Amino acid sequence: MMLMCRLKPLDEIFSQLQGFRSFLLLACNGCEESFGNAEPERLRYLKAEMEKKGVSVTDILTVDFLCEHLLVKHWLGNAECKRDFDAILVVSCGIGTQVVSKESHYPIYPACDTITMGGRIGQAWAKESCKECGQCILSFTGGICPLTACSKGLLNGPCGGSKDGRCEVFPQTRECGWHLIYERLKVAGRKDLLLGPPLVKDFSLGEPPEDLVSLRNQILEKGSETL
Amino acid sequence: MTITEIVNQKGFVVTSELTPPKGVNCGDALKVAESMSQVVDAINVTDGQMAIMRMGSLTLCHLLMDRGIEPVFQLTCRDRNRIALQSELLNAFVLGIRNVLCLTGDHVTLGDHPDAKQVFDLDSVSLLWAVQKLNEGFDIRENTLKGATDLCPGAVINPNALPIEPQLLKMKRKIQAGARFFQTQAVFEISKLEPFARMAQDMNALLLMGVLVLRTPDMTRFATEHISGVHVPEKLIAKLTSSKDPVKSGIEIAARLINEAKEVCDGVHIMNAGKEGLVQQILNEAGIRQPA
Repeated sequence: MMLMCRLKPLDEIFSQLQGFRSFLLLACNGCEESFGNAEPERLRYLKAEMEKKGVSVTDILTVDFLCEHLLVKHWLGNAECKRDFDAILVVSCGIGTQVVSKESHYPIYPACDTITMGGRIGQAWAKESCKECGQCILSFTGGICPLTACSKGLLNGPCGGSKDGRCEVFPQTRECGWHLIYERLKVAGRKDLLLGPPLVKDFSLGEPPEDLVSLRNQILEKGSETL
Repeated sequence: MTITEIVNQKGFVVTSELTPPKGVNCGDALKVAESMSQVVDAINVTDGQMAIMRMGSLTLCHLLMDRGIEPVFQLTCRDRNRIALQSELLNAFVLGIRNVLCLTGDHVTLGDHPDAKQVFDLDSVSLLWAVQKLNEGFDIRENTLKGATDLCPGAVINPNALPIEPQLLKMKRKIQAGARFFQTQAVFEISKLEPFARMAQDMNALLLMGVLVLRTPDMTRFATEHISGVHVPEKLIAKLTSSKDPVKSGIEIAARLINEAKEVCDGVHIMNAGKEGLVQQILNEAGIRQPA
């Protein structure tokens, strides 16, 4: 799997980070360096911009394939020993961001919007956790995506049918996604996020722009040459 | 008349509901509506309830208006995108409909077209917000309308959910998005309503308790097991099972709940009782409306 993602506009990233003073910048080094977003130069730029806004970046950590739970557990475990940051800004696709959210008790914020699956079948052995919608809202939902975690893909809270934390539609096989989000936000002390203004998806953002399509094609060509 | 106006006028509102036919013959539905309208203030018309394909809510609402019956237009997000939903709200207003109950809609797997694509472009909260925008004279993209709507948006809430806090937060979010009245899922223990009644009072919204009429032990078990968000306590199932006349017991249970509801909320919404004149019998038993 190759998820194409792009860095969110800086203003949108900063609007999420309010209330925190120091961050770990955690970037995925898989899927061809997250489409350039995890290039050292790009990460240094992001750090500098954050520091201009008075937010300190205590460390930049890149991990190959943030979709791999074991790798994330190992590297995050090391980073969290220092306890010198309040939250984590994740430069990755929606899958990587949600794996970090699951493995860490720190608040997690996505730096990227995931647009589409590119082409190569690869590393992640995981349940579908990212819909590649191009408008990542994990910062409002405790790092759990309601588009995939809720059977109706509801964006603004639970339906009335969940029983004992199970989905009303598939009670045998699914937990209620909004129950998981509620529990996660309760632990994080951020239940206020369940009262935000109505979220509505912009479906035009799910279509990959031409520059990303050409970059994907270049990567695929390069890959086929090495086979 | 809007639900708000009815409550202001009468102090307590009684609504019931009507399911459109699966087909084009509306005679039976209209007969039931005309009989119910003698004792209720407004009649909800369901919109593809349980994800079963039927005639649309809007048409039956219009036919009710022709007969001088106040409808509550139920609108779900399962079958229409944001363009169709807004368009449908404009249609409703032009036809004279004033009350609209904004719902997300049941999942398609529950109904008779489990292979359908479900839309959910908006959900109940964003649909309420869309009504608010149309009332202000704009669509949700801020384009100006030639004439604004003046709809009274309502929503649903499930007091049986556990834990209840996510439902309470969702209720607050719906009020912030414009909901003026709430209809609850069927409630069998009045204590479950209290936190929701407090929220409604604090935020100036109206609360109508949902009443599901229990008729047979089998139907009661079915409701608990298959209707989204319904839970009938064991003691009520036992009462019906041991009763010689379960329908009469069901009427008594409903009437008792309605009387208790008078203390904590602004009205009741009686479900599944259109046929056989049950609504009349229940309200008569509860002593709030005389039979026609």
